[in-house]
Amino acid sequence: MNMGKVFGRGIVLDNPIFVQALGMCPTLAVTNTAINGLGMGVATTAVLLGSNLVISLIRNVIPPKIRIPSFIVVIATFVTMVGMLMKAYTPELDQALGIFIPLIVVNCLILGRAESFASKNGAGASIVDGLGMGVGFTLALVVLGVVRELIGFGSVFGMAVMPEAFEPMSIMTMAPGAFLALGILMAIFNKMVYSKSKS
Amino acid sequence: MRDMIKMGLILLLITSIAGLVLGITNSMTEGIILERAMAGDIASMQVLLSEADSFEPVDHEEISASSMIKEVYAGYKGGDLVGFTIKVAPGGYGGPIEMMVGIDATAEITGIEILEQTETPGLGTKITEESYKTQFTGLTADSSIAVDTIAGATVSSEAVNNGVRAAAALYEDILNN
Repeated sequence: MNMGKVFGRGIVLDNPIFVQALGMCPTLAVTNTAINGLGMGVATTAVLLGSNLVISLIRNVIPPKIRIPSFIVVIATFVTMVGMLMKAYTPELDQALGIFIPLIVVNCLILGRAESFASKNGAGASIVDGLGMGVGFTLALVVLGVVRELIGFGSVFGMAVMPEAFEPMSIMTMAPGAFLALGILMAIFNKMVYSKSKS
Repeated sequence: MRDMIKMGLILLLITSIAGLVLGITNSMTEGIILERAMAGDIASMQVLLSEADSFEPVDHEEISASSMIKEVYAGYKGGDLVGFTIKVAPGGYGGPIEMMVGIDATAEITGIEILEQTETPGLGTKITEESYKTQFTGLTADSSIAVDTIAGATVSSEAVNNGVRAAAALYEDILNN
């Protein structure tokens, strides 16, 4: 298996957000600022790496009938660990992301990768897959966060960049703004990817 | 039947390992989290009553009976009472908001600090911003206190208003006597 292909797929052709449209709840909810998007992306990537690795290692021990509960236990364990570690070492980020950290458990991206990749492939390939998907997810969240923060607050990563006269559009910081920004970005992304793959 | 027992045992094994791993992580991080919360509390108390050099917990049956009011400390400067810090936990949009209200001996609010909250990021979390919190500073502690709500975060701002009112009511009814 070509590892480079496995890694790159998560970022471009199978991008979790722009192509697969997985994990929409945290995507829409936390990306009102770039730093929140980055924090969410990194936390999700950590969980994805851990769960992909463990699930690929125990995939031959788990009977098919109980694979879903087993996967969920593994995922929930990693999410709880990440939650505790964030509370202890990055309290500001934990405060900002709040309830969305425990909700990583129900991010269908993670269960989706467990089911469609880690349960069928070896540990090495599963780590690469988790990393690719995680990076693709994080990049998409950061792009979305930058766009929404720029228009909604007039800043990028907390630094004011817009001129004084700029009036922030607070709708971009709320749920409707998330849908607008996501839809437009998705269209641009797909246009770019498909016009490239055709030529 | 044998299949079922086997599956049950495998699930039991997986969950036990998960439990063990979580237990280890918890014992590693628990102390740090608690320490941070304590340090945060003490730092907030000093911010709210900067004159005070010592703090004493206040006990009263009304405080322990209330679900809103968590802890009350009286701040002293060389034996003289300078005010109180009251920790309250009003219900916000995403769960209780733990916050501290400082009231000095002349019934003036010295400020509020948000200790822990799980409000919507970017909207409800605006209650933690300095420009919002300072609106309470200098108001007289009575039960009609309210500052303007934040657009898009009505529930969170109302919760903070409720918390401050509860602290003011406690001050009026009990602490001031």
